[in-house]
Amino acid sequence: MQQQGPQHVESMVGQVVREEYGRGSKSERAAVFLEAASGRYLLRRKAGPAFGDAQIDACVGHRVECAGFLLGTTFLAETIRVIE
Amino acid sequence: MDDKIIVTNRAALLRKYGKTGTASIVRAVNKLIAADKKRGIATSLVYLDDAAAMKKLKGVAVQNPADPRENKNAIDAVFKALAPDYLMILGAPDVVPHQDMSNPAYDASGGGDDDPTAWGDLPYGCEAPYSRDPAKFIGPTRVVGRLPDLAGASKPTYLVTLLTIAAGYKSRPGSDYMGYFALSALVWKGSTRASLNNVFGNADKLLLAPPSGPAYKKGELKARMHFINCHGAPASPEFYGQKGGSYPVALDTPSTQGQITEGTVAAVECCYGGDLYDSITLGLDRPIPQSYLGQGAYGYLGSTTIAYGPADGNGSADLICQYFLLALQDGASLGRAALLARQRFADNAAQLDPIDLKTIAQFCLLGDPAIHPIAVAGAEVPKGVALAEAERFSRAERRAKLKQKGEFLARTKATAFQRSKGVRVSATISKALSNIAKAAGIRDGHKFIAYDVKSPAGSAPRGKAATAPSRYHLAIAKSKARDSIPSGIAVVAKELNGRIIGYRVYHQR
Repeated sequence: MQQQGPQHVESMVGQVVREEYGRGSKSERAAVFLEAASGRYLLRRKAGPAFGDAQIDACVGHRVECAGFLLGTTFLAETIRVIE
Repeated sequence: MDDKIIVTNRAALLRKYGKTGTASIVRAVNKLIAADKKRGIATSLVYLDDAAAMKKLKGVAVQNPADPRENKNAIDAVFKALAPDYLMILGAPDVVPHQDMSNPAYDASGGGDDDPTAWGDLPYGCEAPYSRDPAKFIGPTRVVGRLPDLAGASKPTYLVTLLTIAAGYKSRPGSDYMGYFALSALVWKGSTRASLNNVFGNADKLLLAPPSGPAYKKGELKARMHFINCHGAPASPEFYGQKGGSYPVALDTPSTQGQITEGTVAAVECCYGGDLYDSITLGLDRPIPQSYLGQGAYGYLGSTTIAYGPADGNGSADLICQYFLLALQDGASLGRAALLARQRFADNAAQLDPIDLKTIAQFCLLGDPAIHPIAVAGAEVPKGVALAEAERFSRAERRAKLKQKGEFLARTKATAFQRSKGVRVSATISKALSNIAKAAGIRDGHKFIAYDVKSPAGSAPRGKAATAPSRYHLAIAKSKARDSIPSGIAVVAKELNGRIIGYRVYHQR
């Protein structure tokens, strides 16, 4: 939930990692994060499922450039380009 | 004297809808006011940003619609001046914001609770002044609900529809709310069954995901009571089931289309199940709660952020959802049912630990709080007394009781919100916590965070040895694999007189 609304981001570069998320809660799972210079964000595709997105999973371990929307601690990516 | 006040922000509506769109919303509000009048409810609209109107109420007009403090102060002024029996917030958080309570369970190190803020409308229902500390709002006294438009919208159609539904609502016999639609992630079936047994006396109709969802046969969701206990995510029009490491979609916005019966009331435990995200800007399907309301649902109780519940039995999100539905079954209005649920939740906890505080803060009622989904037979009215007058008197009695209860809770309930500073954990406690962690299946390397218990001034017992915990210890951690499935655990341990004297375990379900 982000009260200020979504912020469009033209480009965010970072490392994609898999880590635990929401420990002990109803959301808990191994989730995929984007570790960028500005912070660590839960990474999702805007057009993909919030849980178990194979296309997001394939980015783990890669450095990527994303464009999309920032919503609090979540990054909803419209495009993801693998850099390395 | 007004029984019900609708509050909104005119500047914010104008910014979203322009003059013409805002005018159509005001016309729909006036129709609701006229419909309320026929039901014996005197309703008025107050613009929180109207300087003259707010001055009359001895308040200060909201300058910045997004500012939680300004909005809290303005709504408090409305309550002090008008003491309405119902307060309806008109608009999504980009018109009147949720309050920005700090989340006591937030873990900045990552991996734990990811929500810095437990957004919610709870403070609007409390007399305590603006604060970010949810522990200040454990004694709600006011009947409050929110009829949300679509965040980011520019066309007023959706909000006009919701206002029209509220204006035309009908109370129905309790038998119309005996059936239910219940959906649970497979892994949480035990807990959901317990919830359904508590509310409906059976769990026969429980659907589990997988295999259920996301598509449902026509009529499968037609019951007017809905109870959903699945996974959810921020800005997502989907709820998810779970079997092992698989999280299939259990329900989504498209699958609700044409399936929601007029008068439906939903209690939804899912994380972010009440997140009113901006589906317009994001280009996503509208939030599930807003799909429900747009199709004629009267009310929806859901969480703005990550929610909690234990593995076995019920707790936290399970309880507040159950209490809401049980109050409705007794004939309460949507708003009173939400208030009763909050009060009962606070009352049933000896002390509110960090997870309890987040739970009470994050669950919001979406819907016109004055709607009574279930009709109850009224008391006999003496000759010469108007029905509306008699009902107003009965309502005043109920409100007085709720006020007393809320004030009592605020005066007496201890909370554990503040993290202990410079606390040195004794070897005895350290050992006990380690044993509890081990018993709960927490992997090595866990960390407990200590919270001081704070009792309201004058409420602590005197002249006797302390009998209530003085500190809570919270660990949110990954458990050891169980059935090859790693699961998450939150352990809340209670400390009294230098010893750990009890603990609760919440699992990912």
